Amino acid sequence: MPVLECASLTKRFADFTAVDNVSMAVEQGSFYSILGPSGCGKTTLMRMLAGFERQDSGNIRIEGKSMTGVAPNRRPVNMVFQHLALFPNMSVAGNIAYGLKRRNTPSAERERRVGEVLERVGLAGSGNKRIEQLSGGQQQRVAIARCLVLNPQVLLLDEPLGALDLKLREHMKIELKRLQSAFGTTFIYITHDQSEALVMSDRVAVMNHGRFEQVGSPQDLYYRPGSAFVAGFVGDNNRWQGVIEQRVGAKVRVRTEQGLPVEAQAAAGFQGGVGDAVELFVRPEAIRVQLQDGGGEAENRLQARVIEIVFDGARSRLQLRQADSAQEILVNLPHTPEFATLGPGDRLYLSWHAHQCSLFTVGAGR
Amino acid sequence: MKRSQFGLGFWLLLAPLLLWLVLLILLPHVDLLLISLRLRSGPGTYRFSLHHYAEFFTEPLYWRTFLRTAIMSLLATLLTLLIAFPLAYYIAKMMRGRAKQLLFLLCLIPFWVSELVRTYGWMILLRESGVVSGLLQWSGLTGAPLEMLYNDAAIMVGLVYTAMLFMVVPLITTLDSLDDSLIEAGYDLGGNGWNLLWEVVVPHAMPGIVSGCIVVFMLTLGNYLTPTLLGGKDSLWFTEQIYTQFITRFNWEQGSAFGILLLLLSSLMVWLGLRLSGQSFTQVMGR
Ligand SMILES: Nc1ncnc2c1ncn2[C@@H]1O[C@H](COP(=O)(O)OP(=O)(O)O)[C@@H](O)[C@H]1O
Ligand SMILES: [Mg+2]
Repeated sequence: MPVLECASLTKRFADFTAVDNVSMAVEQGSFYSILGPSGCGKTTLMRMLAGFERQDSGNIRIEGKSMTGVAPNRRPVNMVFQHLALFPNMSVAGNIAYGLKRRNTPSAERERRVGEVLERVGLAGSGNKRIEQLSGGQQQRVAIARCLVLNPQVLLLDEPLGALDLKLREHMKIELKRLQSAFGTTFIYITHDQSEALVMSDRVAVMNHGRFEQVGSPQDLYYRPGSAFVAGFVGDNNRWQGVIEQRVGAKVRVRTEQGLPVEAQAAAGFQGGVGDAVELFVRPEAIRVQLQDGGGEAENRLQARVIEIVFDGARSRLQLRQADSAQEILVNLPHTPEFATLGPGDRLYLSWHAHQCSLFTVGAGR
Repeated sequence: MKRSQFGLGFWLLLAPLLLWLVLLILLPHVDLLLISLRLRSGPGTYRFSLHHYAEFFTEPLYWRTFLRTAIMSLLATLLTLLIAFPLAYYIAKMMRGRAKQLLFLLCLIPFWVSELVRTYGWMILLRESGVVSGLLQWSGLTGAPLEMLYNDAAIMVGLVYTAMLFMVVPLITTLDSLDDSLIEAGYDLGGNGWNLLWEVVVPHAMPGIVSGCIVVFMLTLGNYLTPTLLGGKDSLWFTEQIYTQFITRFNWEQGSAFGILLLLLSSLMVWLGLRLSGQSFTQVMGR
């Protein structure tokens, strides 16, 4: 049985629907992320789970018990706030003990549990420090420890890494995942950063305009995006508009607006027929780049010339243009020696498989 | 080249402030102190003496009035805080946008008229032939006209009313800066309204509370108009004693001693307030 379930959750502000008919089921002990652009309703959804907003319709069940009408301080969930919301007038230990005091935990046990949780999050001995004496990453861990010491059924985290700098964020991603598996607590994690969701999650729900577009494993989202929005939002993609020229079963040939013919493989349930407008996605990292024509059985093989090299270290990109159609194509720059002297105007041989394309009819989503 | 931080411009800007401090605050008080410490020994001759301070402690009317003023002022400060805090919390935390500004303005409106007029407003309400008495008679709750002026309750009402704004403003300012998510985090961790008030809201609002209390206490202690008008002849407010000594008795020495004692009292209370709440003066007045 899932530890947290919600069905047809909807929240409106005046005539604006912030959360629109969302249903989800979160398994005990899993790391569940909600990924979406800012303003899509993630915080509103989480605030309903925590009990700070009342849903207009639908219901929330935690461990099978309906949460309708249950106040935030009586729900078996705790929340790590976007800006942490640590109490500045209390010490680190004071912050962590706050929840235990509210439960009238005897002081000896309280002290023991505070010490224990501090040790588990790697802050042993920092109990007497003031909050502002800690670094951003340490404050993060205090905010999490303050919740975990209460053994919540579900821990809600609202973009907790948003305020940290890049290096620390990379570090905390691993750290959070480690904490989650060490404590075995169910995490529901909100983020607009697809990398955070992909690195940490067991399951990810992609949210847009108050709705869930797709729920799946990180691999599902990356390899088998369920909608044009997901394909565009998760990872980088070449995004081409085009029209279906030919369809035989799952094999589809699309001609892009620039006139490049592309062989693609339709996902199960793809409804488009000849003449339909479609959006086609190919990941830059899925395209093989060669200096000589290497042959092979890839359905899409073409030549293109380098327009520009966008240098970004390991994530450097090549902007290419196909000779006949003027279609622009983005690929990853291989960092092998033969590409070291590559410059604008050079000819390259590209190839990719039909099944590496994602195809969506325009307007209908799938 | 590094220029001195205290250039000519700095001193020019500081000059009016310094003049004000020296001429209007420092000089009169030094003079007050000197006058209070002298005793007329003959026509036009004086000698040093603590006589006027001794007078204060030996004459029960004086020190009792002094004590009464201090206690009533403390009480008025406390009452103002108790009334202003929920009000400020409501305006700062529950209201949004235009409604918030409007409510804040409504708090200011009574202060557009002078204190004298405001106090007369209370007299019109509370006197024997006043509005409240009339209403009570009309509704049959009392048979005869009711005098509600000239007692301690009337003084208290006037003092609290006069001081309210000076409590509400610093409270709203500090409460406004309290992050809502701190309160929500408290609820989320199992807290309820009561312990959140004491563990999160009050500690955060402490600088505002202390600065409001200090200002209100000083204003109340030094108030002359309100206690005299609403309390009548027997209001027994210490400022009245000072007034009497200076104006009626023409005993400047005794009046000066009273003035210095009042100054000592308010300084002592400010110091105590800061010590007890663990705040520093600059922190509190920076609000
Ligand atoms: N209390 C509110 N009143 C009116 N609109 C709100 C309120 N809270 C959020 N919204 C709106 O709902 C939308 C979703 O907000 P939010 O859930 O905070 O998005 P996210 O966390 O995904 O960035 C936003 O357009 C926001 O303006
Ligand atoms: Mg948000």
